[in-house]
Amino acid sequence: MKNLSAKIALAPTALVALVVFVGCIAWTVGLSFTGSRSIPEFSFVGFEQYVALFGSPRWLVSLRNMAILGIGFVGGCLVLGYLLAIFIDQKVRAESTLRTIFLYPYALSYIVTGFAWQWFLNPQLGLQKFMQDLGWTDFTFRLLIDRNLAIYTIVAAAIWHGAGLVMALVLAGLRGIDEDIWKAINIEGIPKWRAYLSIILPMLGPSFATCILLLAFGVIRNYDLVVAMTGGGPGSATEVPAKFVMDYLFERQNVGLASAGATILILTVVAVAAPIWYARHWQTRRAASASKG
Amino acid sequence: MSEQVLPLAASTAHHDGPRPATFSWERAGIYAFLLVASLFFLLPIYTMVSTSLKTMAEVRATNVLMPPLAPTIEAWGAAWNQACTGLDCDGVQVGFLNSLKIVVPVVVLSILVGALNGYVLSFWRFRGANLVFTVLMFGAFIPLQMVLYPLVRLWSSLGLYGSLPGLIAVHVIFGLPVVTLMYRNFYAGLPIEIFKAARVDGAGFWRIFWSIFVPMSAPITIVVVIWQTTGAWNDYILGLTFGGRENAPMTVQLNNIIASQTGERQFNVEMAATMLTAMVPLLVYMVSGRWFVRGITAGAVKG
Amino acid sequence: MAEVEARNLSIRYGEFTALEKLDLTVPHGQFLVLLGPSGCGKSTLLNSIAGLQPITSGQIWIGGKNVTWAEPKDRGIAMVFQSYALYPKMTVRQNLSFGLKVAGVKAAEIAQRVQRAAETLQLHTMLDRRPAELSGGQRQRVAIGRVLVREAEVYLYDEPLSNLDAQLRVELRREIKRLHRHLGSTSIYVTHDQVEALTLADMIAVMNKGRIEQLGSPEEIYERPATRYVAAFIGSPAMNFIDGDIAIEAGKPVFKWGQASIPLDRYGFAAGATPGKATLGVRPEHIAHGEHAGGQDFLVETTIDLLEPMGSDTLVWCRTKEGQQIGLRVPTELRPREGDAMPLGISVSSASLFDTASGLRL
Ligand SMILES: Nc1ncnc2c1ncn2[C@@H]1O[C@H](COP(=O)(O)OP(=O)(O)OP(=O)(O)O)[C@@H](O)[C@H]1O
Ligand SMILES: [Mg+2]
Repeated sequence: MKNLSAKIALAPTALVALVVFVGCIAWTVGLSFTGSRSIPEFSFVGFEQYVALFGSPRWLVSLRNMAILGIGFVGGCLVLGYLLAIFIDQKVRAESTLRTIFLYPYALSYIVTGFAWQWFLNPQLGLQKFMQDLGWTDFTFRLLIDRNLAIYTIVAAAIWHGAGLVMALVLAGLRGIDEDIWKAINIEGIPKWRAYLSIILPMLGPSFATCILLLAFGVIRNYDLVVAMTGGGPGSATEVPAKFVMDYLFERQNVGLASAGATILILTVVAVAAPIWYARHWQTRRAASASKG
Repeated sequence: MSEQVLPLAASTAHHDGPRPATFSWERAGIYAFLLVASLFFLLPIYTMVSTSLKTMAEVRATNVLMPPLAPTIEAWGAAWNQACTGLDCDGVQVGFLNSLKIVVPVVVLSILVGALNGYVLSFWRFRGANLVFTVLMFGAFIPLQMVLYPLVRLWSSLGLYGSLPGLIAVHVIFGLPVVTLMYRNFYAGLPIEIFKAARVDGAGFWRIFWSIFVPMSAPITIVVVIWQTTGAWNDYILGLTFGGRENAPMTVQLNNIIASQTGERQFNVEMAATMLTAMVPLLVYMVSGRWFVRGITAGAVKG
Repeated sequence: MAEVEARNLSIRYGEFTALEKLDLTVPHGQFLVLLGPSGCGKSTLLNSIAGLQPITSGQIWIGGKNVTWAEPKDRGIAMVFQSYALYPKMTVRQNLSFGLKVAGVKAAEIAQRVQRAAETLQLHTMLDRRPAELSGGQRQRVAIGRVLVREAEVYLYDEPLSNLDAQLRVELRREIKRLHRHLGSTSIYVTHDQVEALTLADMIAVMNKGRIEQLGSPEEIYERPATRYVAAFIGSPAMNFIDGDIAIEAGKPVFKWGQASIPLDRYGFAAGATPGKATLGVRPEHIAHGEHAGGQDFLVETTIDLLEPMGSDTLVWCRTKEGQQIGLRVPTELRPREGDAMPLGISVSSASLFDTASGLRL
């Protein structure tokens, strides 16, 4: 047989890919249509689990929080990361130190990030006490224990963790921009902020698309950060879908419901990724046909 | 020519050489922004370190932003070998060793499998290879929760659940898409003539891999080592689900220590334990410098 | 009036000196070409005139004003780049109008100027396309259009045609020349292509290692190169150089080359003849052959070494007995053959003489 060795070499990967990435997903989707509790049952219940899922206040809170994270965290990272990259790109001193400072959180785990921020914002001894020690005695900074605000502390911690990634990717993009473009901008007397907004930003489209993909998947997968920072609390104010699924799989013993939640998660992934892929595909085709014509 | 222009022309006539540097609000603004941003990024780690160097009495008496007045590494010692997880009070060293036992084999196996996959996918095109690659890339995007439960069942039936080999295996599997992609892109960037020349010389599949491509793979292998070391060390969810009590990695143990504290919380010990958990990836980051960024860029799936 | 002047201009990159005490004046309305090999400082000079390049010492004057410390946008200049430097995500129309919009020019005025530029450069059909959807030549047209709408006094071009294929280059070259005639503004044009330089320029500045070797009209540069370097750089195939000595025989200057001595009385010395080592430069197109060989100042016997047919002409490489190689151009229909004897006639009136040590024209 032709290429036998090559086929043998790829076989284990092919098997794993098939079993884990196709088989297990199919299994989970299948389970979401059963009434499975702690062990899989093969009782078909149609969309009952989905109905139960969207009837569950906790799931709805999770979805809302995912949306807040999605907008706040992705948006925050993009804006802060782009600003950092722009400011670093102004031929500043100590550039490599600054890059190190902005990117190091990305090397840390979400568990570590969560505990660091939990302590930093600790209601008794954290930032609040610092402000009170400064003489601002009625300052209260009860972010972590305020039901309405706790999710935003997670957004802040996540931005702290992820903004450096955007900075690094966008800075690489900025450095790739033709010197002559900047010369043209200079000669036309276009102010820098205007150039970064109207000329450079559109040119960085691919860098930003990559960032958005990576950050958005971070949002959908977000589990450890919430566990470490708030454990989903206060109450269930900071629950997120990934945590919902984990809890119902392993603690609350409702595999059917959890599988329904997981299925919704993967649909979200597709919903995020598809437009970006489509846009890229479309752009390459457009560029290819233009250079031919 | 109006008369007003003349004095202006006269005043510029002596300009010569580079424009003298003058105070510019723009530059000041740039540095001010960078300074504030640096504070934002450094404060959390500063509070962690300074708290870990205080005694609990000092922690209570001062606040998070105060530097330790009498730095002591007591809390670090306690975190390393006394902090309690439930009834076991052996510190985070247990988790540290577990994480080492997980990460080292994971990195080695990922390199071997990933390099081989990348090699096949770059040079040995056959029907079905592309399909495997597509499925793999899809695997890079799926949330773990999507496959966790079936995998737990599968691992139990294979007797792998809760064992070290089982945990290592899941790490390798979930790292496979990105590692394969890194090697594939790296090999695809090499001139195909290298491969063709070797084929013409009559070298076979394994021979070409071991004698030609493996020795050329150092740059991407460094990136993979960095990527997989930090990735596996920072993992929480796989260790929690597949590790069992015996093999809990450092992140899981840290969470257990902090979550299972009863009575008054020992913030200084907690922060020392957190710093200890962060130490390996931080070191990797500091030492690897630009390679780390290259890893992110290479791992940033370019669909 | 926009005369451009560099006064005593020096530019250093750290230790490396890119330009050394350079003086240059471009009168209003002139088309100056900066010509020189890669790395000789052409772009550095152009960028410093544009204000894109910090200078180490010296001054830049444009239109009678000292603009040494002025921002690029305040210098009344416009610039075209080798890489086009179009804004890739904007349409052609936006590319043309964006700078004006930012500068606060009124919409009606912008539309009018864009319209005029589009007419001049035939950009009508592509106004709503993006740069990625244009060919290289079209892109450079747009880049020139972006420069036109600025209605600047001075136009700067940095190798604008280098990325184009040969045919387009010739086409756009003509267009740039026509444009210059039409606008009558001052232009400075960087290239390392001598054909471009000779066809476009009113004045050529040949640069070498951060200095201007010669500034003159294309004819002067070609016919009376000031240095051996300039002589070698201009002309294709390159000038033939013959090393020998200048001596005075019977009160008359002669060029001694081996046994031979070539009378120099018909050569126009810049400042009298002095004996010493010298190099005689003869352009291949000035060497007579066949029946005309005899009527010149000097006849040299050679044999044909190598032929390079180039269509209507053939390059013939000959060799003397002493081993000196001499190249010349011969109409192909004469059918020269390798190995044939080839007597050549050299006329000193169209030749150049250089001091061998200093390389300066004698
Ligand atoms: N930023 C810089 N730092 C150090 N040296 C530089 C820099 N820019 C240019 N140089 C050096 O200055 C010299 C002149 O460069 P310049 O770009 O002006 O050459 P050029 O004549 O335009 O060449 P080309 O035809 O290749 O464009 C070169 O030797 C180059 O190596
Ligand atoms: Mg140049």
